[in-house]
Amino acid sequence: MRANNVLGILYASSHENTVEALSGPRTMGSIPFGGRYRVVDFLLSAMVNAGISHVLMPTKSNYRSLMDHVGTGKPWDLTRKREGLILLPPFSSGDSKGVYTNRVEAAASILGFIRDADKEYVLLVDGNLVCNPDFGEMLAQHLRSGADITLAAVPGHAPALKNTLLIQTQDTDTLPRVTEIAVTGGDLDGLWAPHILLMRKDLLVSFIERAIDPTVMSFERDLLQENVERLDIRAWTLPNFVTAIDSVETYYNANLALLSTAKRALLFPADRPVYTKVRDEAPTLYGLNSHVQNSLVADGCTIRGEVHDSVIFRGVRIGRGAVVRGSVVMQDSVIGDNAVIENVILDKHVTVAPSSRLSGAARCPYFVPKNTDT
Amino acid sequence: MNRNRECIAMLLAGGQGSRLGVLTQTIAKPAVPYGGKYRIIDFPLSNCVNSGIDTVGVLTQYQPLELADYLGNGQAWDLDRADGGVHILSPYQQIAGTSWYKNTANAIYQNIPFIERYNPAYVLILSGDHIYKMNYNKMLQFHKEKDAACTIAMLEVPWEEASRFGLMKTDESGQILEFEEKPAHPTTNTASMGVYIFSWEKLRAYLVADENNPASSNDFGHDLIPAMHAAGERLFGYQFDGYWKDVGTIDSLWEANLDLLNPNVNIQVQDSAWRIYYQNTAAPPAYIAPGAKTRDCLISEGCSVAGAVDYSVLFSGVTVEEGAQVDYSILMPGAVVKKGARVHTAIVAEDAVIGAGAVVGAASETMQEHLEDWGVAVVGKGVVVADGSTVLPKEMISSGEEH
Repeated sequence: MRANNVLGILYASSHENTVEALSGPRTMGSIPFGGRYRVVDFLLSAMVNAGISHVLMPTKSNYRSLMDHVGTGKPWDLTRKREGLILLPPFSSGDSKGVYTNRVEAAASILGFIRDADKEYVLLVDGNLVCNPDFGEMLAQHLRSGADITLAAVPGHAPALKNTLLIQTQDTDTLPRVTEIAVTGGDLDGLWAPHILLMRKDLLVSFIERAIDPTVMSFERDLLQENVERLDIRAWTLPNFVTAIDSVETYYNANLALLSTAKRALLFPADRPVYTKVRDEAPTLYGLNSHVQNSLVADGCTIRGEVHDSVIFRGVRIGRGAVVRGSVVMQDSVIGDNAVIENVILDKHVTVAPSSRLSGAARCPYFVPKNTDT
Repeated sequence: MNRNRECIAMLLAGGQGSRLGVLTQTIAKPAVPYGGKYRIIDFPLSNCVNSGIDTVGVLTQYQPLELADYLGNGQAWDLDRADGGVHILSPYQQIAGTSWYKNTANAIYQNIPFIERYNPAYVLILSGDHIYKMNYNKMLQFHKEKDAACTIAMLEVPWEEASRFGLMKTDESGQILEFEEKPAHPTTNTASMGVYIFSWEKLRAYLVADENNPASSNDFGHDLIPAMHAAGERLFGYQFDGYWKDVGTIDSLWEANLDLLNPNVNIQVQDSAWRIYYQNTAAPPAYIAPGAKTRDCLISEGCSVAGAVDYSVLFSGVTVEEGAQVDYSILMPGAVVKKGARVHTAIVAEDAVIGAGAVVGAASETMQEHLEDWGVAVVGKGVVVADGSTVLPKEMISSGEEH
């Protein structure tokens, strides 16, 4: 189903504090992921692939890299005369204090944009989620069930994030009805709901308008948990690869999870391509003595050494005799000849000196910040 | 906005490229894929943008659909301009009758009104058949310094190929003393690259005269430049010494692709200072599986490689299954090489499938005794080569054929 009657709202700054090493120089949404993407690319592309043509993207701080990345929205075909992508940095005026502290406050600060959008429905999503849902299907199910609010739901282990929803459902002819909602600190097993909410726009607007003090309100408690009996809330199970980034380790494992062909097929289905800012890189050159095994490699790299079980971003150079194992190497990093790195995350533009050695533990990667020369 | 331009480019992209056989069955030659990411036309277009030329007329005639689709509004090359940018110029019906582009000079003649909208002092004429990186702005400076009517970019070509080109002799200042189009018996190996800069007033006058001459074949190299030379106009040769390759044949296209892997050849596409822009596909990074061998090759995003790839160029979205072997070959977007298949010295066009255990082409070492039978095998777009079957060296299979 074409979701062109839906306004998308993507919070680019969600849960940044959980990955300060990565989010220091940027927003959650602009953290590099999967060899050539930024985290925000996945949900933004999923929205566009469903036919959503109007997306609001509130940001909080350090949003320069996000602005640079999304630009005018061209890679997502969201550069439009009408609608399109609108990046919304904090704005201070009479009744708004500028930088907000929670999502309700953020929504309140952009209420004018929400009201003005000529859309009947609104889809709210968090920017720390890496998944590629079929939002057209979610909308179709939402309409068929007649729900007030549809939540995406994922069975399994909930991320260790504050305000994580664990839900109980009851089967119906259409989508299962949510009967209980617990607002938890996450890190528990069960059916959990990432912050992907679909509802009528007027329901969202009236909730925000009635919020006397948005700074103490939350969607989780005050919109969902509080109204679990009064509103018809349904759960739509995400038949998908879903990661909610809640720590550097989760980020690392989610990158390496893409080495599984089955998981890549879930995140990159042929009919829902993931768009990103293009760099017009040349193809990657694999040198005469290179040896690459079980790895994802983006364009524009030169590989002269060994790479095992790793994710290599665009424009990375790996020198002769160098060995890279179990690592995530972000764009334009350089690994000198004969250097060895193992279980490491190299942020962008890191230079690893020739013949040096860096290693982390298998479940606890060693992180090297942006622009470091080791 | 001011529409006047000092220099605009006219890119001749109408060529059929019939010597590329099945590769140009449904697309114009400038749209032929090259180098793992690009199409031939990306090189002249990127050269224009990198040289500061923001208005390019692309003259199409043969199979324009895919080319027009590829160019779109020019955004991929930063040529989506409010004024100027990329314009596709197809032949059209006029009151006096329909006229296809008869030849290169006639194609420009028919677009005089387009050129005049920009009121240029100079017009750069390009073709969509060559792989090279060149700063046209430097050539324009040379043209202005010499106060030339026409400047022709030139380079040395191997003597045995010289008769395929327009050849020229110049004096020390670069002024052209002799110009001969494709002579049977060359007396020089300094050849025209098919890149011309004309002072527009001069070009306009000679285009009109050429059109009014019923004996003319309306070709730049054959008619217009000799006419200018005979009339005593100032014609100059501009020396180019970088990599330049006419990819008009299967062999030269194959070779030009593998040149990207040859450390002795100076065509650097990984060059952020002179980027070659292209229309991107949204594909995830390449996945190199356990057990794969990828040595001395170029592999693009969207590929999945489990077999052995040696000295080859893989375009976006190519699959090489386990146990398959690919060497000295070019695999265009979406090509699939199934389990245990072998591809040696071949060009496999878009979305072609090489069935399990099939053998395409042969390695030159295995044919030392019949080297005259060895050559590049070509599998056309969308062709499915059946499991276990064979495509011989030099063989060319087109879509629609059973194999």
